[in-house]
Formats: sequence, structure tokens, C-alpha cells
Amino acid sequence: MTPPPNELDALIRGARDLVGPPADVASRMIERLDAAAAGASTATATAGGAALSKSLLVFAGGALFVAGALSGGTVVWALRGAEVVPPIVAVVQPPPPPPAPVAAPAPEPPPVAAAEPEPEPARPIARKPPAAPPTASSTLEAERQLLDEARSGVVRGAWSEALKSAEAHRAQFPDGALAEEREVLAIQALSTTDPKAAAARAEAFRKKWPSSILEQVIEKVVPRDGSSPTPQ
Amino acid sequence: MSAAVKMLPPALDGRELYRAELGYVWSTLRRLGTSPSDLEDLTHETFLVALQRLAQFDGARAVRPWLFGIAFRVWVGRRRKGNREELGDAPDAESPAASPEAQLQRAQERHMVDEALAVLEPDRRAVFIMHDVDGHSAPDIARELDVPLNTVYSRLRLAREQLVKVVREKAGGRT
Repeated sequence: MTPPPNELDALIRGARDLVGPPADVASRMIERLDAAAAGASTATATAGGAALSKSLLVFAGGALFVAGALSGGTVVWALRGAEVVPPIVAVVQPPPPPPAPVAAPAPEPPPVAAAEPEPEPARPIARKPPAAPPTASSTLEAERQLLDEARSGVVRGAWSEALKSAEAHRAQFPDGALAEEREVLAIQALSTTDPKAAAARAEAFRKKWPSSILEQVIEKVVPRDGSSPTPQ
Repeated sequence: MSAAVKMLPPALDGRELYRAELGYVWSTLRRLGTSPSDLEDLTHETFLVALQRLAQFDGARAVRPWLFGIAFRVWVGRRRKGNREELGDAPDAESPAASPEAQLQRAQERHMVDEALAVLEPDRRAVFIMHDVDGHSAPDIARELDVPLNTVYSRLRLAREQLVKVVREKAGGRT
């Protein structure tokens, strides 16, 4: 497809002025979504008693599947970097209907395996209270706080601040659960202030995470083919 | 025995999805013409749908075209219920360092963009935004909007023609 006419350049630039909601609105929206997520998890977990005491999320080949029917239209998904156990997934038994199709690499009878009630009260991932934040001592929460700061900086165009938070995360959690997201934020911050550093970091990212879904984000600021980045 | 549990690929965390793409979905809905009073609700609704569909999301697909497609359908659905488009001043994140004058100018520019895009019918608006503004590929657009590839090209061409006319008329009006 041919590029758009030059007369539309200013319009397109203006439309690309990607601004999200004000910070207070963004915070409120994230709280709502967190609450919806936790509420869905709780509803799924509490309905039906023991048989629904846990959720099983099976991941295969980079895709996420819910093994089991959804309950009342709610959805349960894994929260990364669970503060309780290294595997991110909480295990919940699906309701009676047969499980949803699971990708090939998934173990054959995941719902059956998940049907065994396992008293693992230490996996409250899906039951996190909606509003109460995790404890400050949580590694994941500490990671998230740093990346929230970095993300806020990126959204506001405060590149130095964003990079500072990303680097703080790298110093404290070099291989943390959110390392991939950290690198993306750092690359975004660097793409404006230090394109060469951004390119180097993007190359390292692509080697480490060749199938990352976040490649789409990096491609916008450090295209693989070396072309000019898409204005953000 | 407990079922085999695999580590979640880092990028497919629902919470990270909306944290990372909140601004994009908000801006998408705004550019489509969502009234300021509906922006928050429609953004929320879009993510609820996205999170429900996350299980079916193919990791090889680009996230933003996928989100755009969902946002577009949410927006179309709301329009059908009678909510009219409004170009009012939507609350936007501002750079704290920007002067009041710069912020005002930015708001005025955004309003001009909103006015121009509002000229386009929804289907053409979606294609124009996805292709010329967001830089998504025509095949991705065709897939996420569920239309033939040629339809994407046709709508894009017509959208551009309409917008060029608008821009020329505005330029003519200023001279």
C-alpha cells in the first residue's frame, strides 16, 4: 500500500500523540480491572466447593489456555510471579464439563490431574483480595512497583525517570519475573534519549526472548530492519 | 498427582496486559470517537473482553491490532445502543513539565484531529487509524476487523481521500 498523502502528515502526527488517561483515572481503572480479576478468581474458586477449589491454567507454546469451562462468564488467568510459589499458576479444578481444548504440549488429562483436591492454602493467587495490595516484602510487588514507576515515566515521556526505575529493577532483580517487561520499558525510554543503547538492548532482548509477544512493542521503537521507528 | 504446571510466558499476564496497553486502548477508543463520559467504561469493557479471550489469543499475533479489533467492536456495540459521539474535551494525561500554553495547544491539536476523524464513517475510520496512524499491516487489519484484504485497501483509499478533502477545506478556510 502506498504511504498516505503528505497533506495528511500533520493529521497523522497529531493522531499518534498517544496519550492515555490522566494518572488518577489510570490508577482507578487498573484497580477496577484488578478487582474484576480477583472477583472472577474468587467466584470461580468458591463456587461448587472442593471441586472448584483451584484453577488450572496450562501454558503451552506461548499460549494461555484455561483448562475447564468458565464459570458464569468469569475468567481466571495466571498472575505472574506469584509471590507464593514459583509456578505462576494457581490450580483450580474446572467445573464438570470437559475441559477446553488444550494446546499440544499440555499434559493429556490436565483436568483430571487438577481434579484432585490439593490442600495448598499457600497458593492464594486467584484469591487475592481485590483492593489490598500485596505485602511490601513481596518480591513480585517490589518488582511491580519499580516497573509501575518506569511505565509511568514512559507514558509521561519522562525518559530519564523511566530509565532510572528500570535500571533500579535491573540492579535488584536482574532475572526477576518481570525482567522481560523491564527490558521493554528500558528500550522504550532509551529509544528517544540514546538510540544506539536502545538498539543494543533490543538486540539482546531478541536473543534472550526470541518469541516474546512484547516484540511488537519493541519493533515500534527499534525496528528489526533498522528503519526509522514508528512515532509513538 | 497435581497436573503439570508450566511457567506462564512472561508476556501473557493479564494484569501486565492492561497495565501495558491501557493508554493504547484508551487512545484507540478516543480516536474512534468515544464520548469523554464513556471512555473509562469502554476501556474497561474492552479489557474485560480481552482478558476473557486471552485463552484463545495466539501468541504469534500482534497484540495491539487484536486489542484494536476488540475496542472497535465494543465501541460499535455502544453506538448501536444509541450513545452518540461527542468531541468534547476528553481528560488526557499531560506531561507535568508542559506549560499551560503548551497543554492548551496540544488539546486544540487533538480536537482538530478528533474533528477530522469524525468525518469518516466508522469502518473507514478504523482502517485509517489502524493503518496510517498505528502502522499496523493490512493483513493484520483484515484479520482483526474480519474483512477481506481488498476491503481494507478500499476503505483506506476512501478514508484518505475524504481526509485530504477535509484538510484542504480547512486550509482554504484559513487563508
